[in-house]
Amino acid sequence: MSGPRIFRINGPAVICEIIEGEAILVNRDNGHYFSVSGAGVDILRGLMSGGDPERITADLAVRREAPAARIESAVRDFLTELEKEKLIVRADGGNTPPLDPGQLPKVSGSKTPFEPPRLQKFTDVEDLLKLDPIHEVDKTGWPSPKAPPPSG
Amino acid sequence: MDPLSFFEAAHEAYRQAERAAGGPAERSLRVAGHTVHLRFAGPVLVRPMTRAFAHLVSGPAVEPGLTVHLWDSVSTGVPMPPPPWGSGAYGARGEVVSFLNERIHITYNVLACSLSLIDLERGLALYWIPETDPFPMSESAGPLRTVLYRWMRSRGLYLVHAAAVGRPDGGVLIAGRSGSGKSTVALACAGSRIGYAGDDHCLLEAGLSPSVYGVYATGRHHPVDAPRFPRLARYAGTIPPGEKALYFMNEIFPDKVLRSFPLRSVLVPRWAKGPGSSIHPAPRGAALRALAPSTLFQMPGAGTEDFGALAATVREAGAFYLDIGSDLEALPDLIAGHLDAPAGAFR
Repeated sequence: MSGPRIFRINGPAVICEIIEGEAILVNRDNGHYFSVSGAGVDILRGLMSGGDPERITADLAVRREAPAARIESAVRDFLTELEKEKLIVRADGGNTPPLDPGQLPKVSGSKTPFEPPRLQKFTDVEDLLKLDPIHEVDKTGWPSPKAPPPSG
Repeated sequence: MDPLSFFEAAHEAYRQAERAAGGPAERSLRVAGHTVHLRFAGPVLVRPMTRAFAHLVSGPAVEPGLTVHLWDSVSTGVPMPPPPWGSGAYGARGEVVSFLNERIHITYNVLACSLSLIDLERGLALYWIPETDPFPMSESAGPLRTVLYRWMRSRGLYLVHAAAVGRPDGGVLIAGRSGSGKSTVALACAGSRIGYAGDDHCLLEAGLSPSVYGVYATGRHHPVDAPRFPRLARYAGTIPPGEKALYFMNEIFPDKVLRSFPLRSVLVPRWAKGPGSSIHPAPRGAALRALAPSTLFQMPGAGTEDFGALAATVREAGAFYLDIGSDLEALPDLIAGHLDAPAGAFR
């Protein structure tokens, strides 16, 4: 990946809630919403805590049972997918210091299995944002009446 | 012109309308513990704008929390001042983006051709519609939705896209997009042993003990679905072409309309094969996905705060799938059985 190495959630359009091991993202600009599961939730938590892919990868490698290369590849691919869906954007990393391995969490006990990040996209309610395009106004300056959408 | 100045110009138009109509007609509503006072410039809008929440009408309050002034141009002869913004100023939900600030919110409903304005600082709102014949059915079924959403949100209550049924000691939200079955479930419960609090929108008070408040005692279905709701058959009346049947449950089943209940669980409807319906535990994520997106996309300005309140609600309440079979008559008993479970079964 080229450019700044920090990402952030693409707010205010995109908002996110994490509930019972699933993250739900809603894009208020286009009517799409997403479900994130597996390590994707960890990655999103990492984005909301600073957004440094290197730290996110290192944190996962400490806590999850999988080769480091696999984790790194999964994080990279997932961030690419999130960026493609406009859920995250590159942010100015500012004076982010280099990663200090001593700052990584110490895991007590065994690592837990690594579940690949998954992103599921939903477009079933996007029409709610397409119902009322206002383009024309009448001589009073108010929008011209529109025909109601087909009942569905 | 700034937002407050336009609000004042519109308010002056209302005053002219009230004088032209010969004086106001007034109603007070008690909604989720708050008094909403409606002041109409003339009589024409009173019935279509109050029928949906006639069950909430109360005596006049000394100091209402919210006052709404309503008028139409045809019966009063008073137009709304022309907008000081162009056609490009409207957001996806009709909100006038360039005239939006912490205090003043203005939203145009392009299907109903109505304009809603609210001054949150004064607890004062305006509603204008150019003409009332024909009166938009969507406005009759859910009047003042934008105004109530904005004002109730400032009071920590959220207007959500969900049906609500239950009993005074507990009930359920039925969450899902249009066509998912939530109205079907609510209408199947109308007039049954299960109380009715709405089929499309209701108020939610989030928190450790979330509560639901019924606002619109209405229900709608496509004419072709009439045979599925035998209890409603004789109340359908003449349905205009292209419209849904619209029922006012506060008139049909006044003793079965619920004002509020503690929320026990969120049901996510799914269509099942065969006659039988059933209720199964669901991931809370599924309940939030059913509840949040359509709510957030419908309400102008809904965002992080609303999403957080919905998520907090789902975390506290139980989440279940409601698989809907073809035997809709069995749904009230099924939901009653679900509500009879110990409270701990919902967490």
